[in-house]
Order: sequence, then structure tokens, then C-alpha cells
Amino acid sequence: MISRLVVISIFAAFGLTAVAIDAMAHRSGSRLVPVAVLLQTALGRRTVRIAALLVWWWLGWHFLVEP
Amino acid sequence: MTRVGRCRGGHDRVMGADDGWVSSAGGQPVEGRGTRSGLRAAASPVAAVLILAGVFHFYRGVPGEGVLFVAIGLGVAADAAGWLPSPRSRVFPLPGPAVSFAVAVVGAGALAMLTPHGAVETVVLVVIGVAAIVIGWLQPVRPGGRSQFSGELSSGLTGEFSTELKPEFTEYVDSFAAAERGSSSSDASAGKALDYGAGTAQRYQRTAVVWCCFGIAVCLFELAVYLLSDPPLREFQYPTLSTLLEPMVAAPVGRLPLLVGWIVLGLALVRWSQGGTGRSVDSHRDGAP
Repeated sequence: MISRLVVISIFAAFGLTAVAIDAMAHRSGSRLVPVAVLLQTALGRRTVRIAALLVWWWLGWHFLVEP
Repeated sequence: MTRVGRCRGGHDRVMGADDGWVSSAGGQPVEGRGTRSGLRAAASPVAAVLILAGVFHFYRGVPGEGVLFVAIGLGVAADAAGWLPSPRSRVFPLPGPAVSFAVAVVGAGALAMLTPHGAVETVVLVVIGVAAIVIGWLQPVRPGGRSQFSGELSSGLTGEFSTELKPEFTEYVDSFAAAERGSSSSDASAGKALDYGAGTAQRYQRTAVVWCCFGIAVCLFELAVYLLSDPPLREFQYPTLSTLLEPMVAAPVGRLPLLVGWIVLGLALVRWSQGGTGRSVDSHRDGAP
């Protein structure tokens, strides 16, 4: 049971970290750019775009269709 | 091989081999072609990640997904090497964030009503996947990386999420244009503009490194939990994200918010891929503000 709680806590920490990183990027004078802006630039490359769309689609497939 | 790009400031910028972008037969920039040998260009990190993911899908017993990831990974590598024909690029008219959300709610509502893991849902997901990859393939390539300060990025930063940085880029591109022309800008201001551009490039690089490290950490942790769970023996003690979300996905009420988020993200990725909704891209191409 403890291991389950630890795993869930770490997943939650990852989620909070992601939110914190992007929140930091939105502050004025930040040394980071918001993830949406970074993606908009990266997705201009076809290789990155195809990979991102494949991963996005797979997430839907994995959770919705895959038994 | 060179290409002429038009910056926001109205001047033409010739981009050569140093930029890493060259024009294809259809006038669209093609990344990497002609600047590196095909084999070196084929060794794309993106392709490697996809192929690695495909191998893992084989390991976890879903060969269909393994084949898909490996095939697309090889396709990406071939495209990076310039071994695939360049498609005739298209800019698609896409909804903005508000309409996307409405579309997502309606679409998610319809999908949530379908039988989980049923035939109809499978067909719908396959159609969505094929459409997404085809659209992504056909959307025009925009400069990035070292050449991200060209006029194309300025034109591309028209999305609703980029308003914060757009003025910065516009200011920089205009400064750079003036510096290149050597018209009204002094050497000092041109140098300042270049320093500013270098600083912005560092922000992009730093952010990319941060998110790559974050993504690798999440993937490694998920992999470790998966291996520890030795499915299905210890899935309760070591639940992967899939295991944790399974009860939520099983109920239509729980599926709905996940589906809305998934569709919104998909539409955003397609919109960001072409730098906006398509209408604004066209207007920028026509020289409109």
C-alpha cells in the first residue's frame, strides 16, 4: 500500500512540476518561454510535428480503445 | 541552395546553407536537405525516440502499435534525410481556442456515448489518427532552431497563445531587418538587436532542455513502475498512469473531461503546427498586418 501511495505521489508531483514550470515561464522576465510558444516553434518542423501528433493520437487510443 | 524569405519589416532575406533550410520544388522550405549528408540527417533524435517507443510496444505485447511507431519513426528519418518526396503544402483553416473547446465538448460527448473498446470507437479513433498524421504531413514546414528569427517565425507567431512573445519577435525581426539593410540603424543598435535575439534563442534552448529532461524523467518513472508492476501481478502496488486512469475511463462521466482535454490538445497541436488558425497565416502571407 505504501508503494502505491509513493507512486501516486510522484505522479502528482510530476503534474505539479509541469504546472510550476509553465507558470514560471509566464512570469515577466522569465528565462523560459511558455510551453505553448515553444511547441509552436518546434511544431514548425515536420518531424517534430508528426511525432507529437502520433503521441497525442496514441494517448487517446491507449486509454480509450486498447483493452 | 538559397531561399528568399520576406521579413515583417518588408525586406527579403536570403537563407542559405547556414540556416539549414532550403526550398523544395514546391517552394516550401525543407529542413536539413542539402546541408547534411542523408545518412547523418536520417539519424534524427525524433525518429530514434519513436523507434525506441515502438520497440517498447513490442516488449509490452502490443505489436500493432510497435509496428506503427517503428514505421512512422522510419518515415520521419527518411523525411529528415530528404529521401521522401516533398508534399504540396497546405494551410488548413482551423478553429480558434473558443471554437475548439466547443468542438471538443460536442465530440467528447459523442465519443463518451460509444461503447468503450467497441468497433465504432476503434474506427473513429483510426480515422482521427490517419487524418491527424496526413494534416501534419501536409502542413507547411516553418523555420525553427537557429533560423527561428527569420520573418517566417514572426508570421507564424500569430496563434492566440503567443501574444506575449509576438511583440518581442516583431521588434527583433524589425531591428534585424534594419541592421541587415544597414539603413537607419547604427552598428551599436544592430549589435544590441543581435544580443537580444541571442538571449531569446537561449530562452528557447533552455526551455527545450527543461521540458526534455522533464519528459525523460516522467517516461523513465513510468517505465520503472511498469517493470515493477510485472503486469498484472503487482499492478495495485505499482500502478502505472494507465492503471490509475482506468476507473475514470471506464465511466462515461469520467471519460468526458479526458476526451475534452485530448481533443482540445489535438486541435491545438494542429493549429500550432501552422502557426495559427490558417486565416491569420494567409493574411500575413499577403502582407496584411
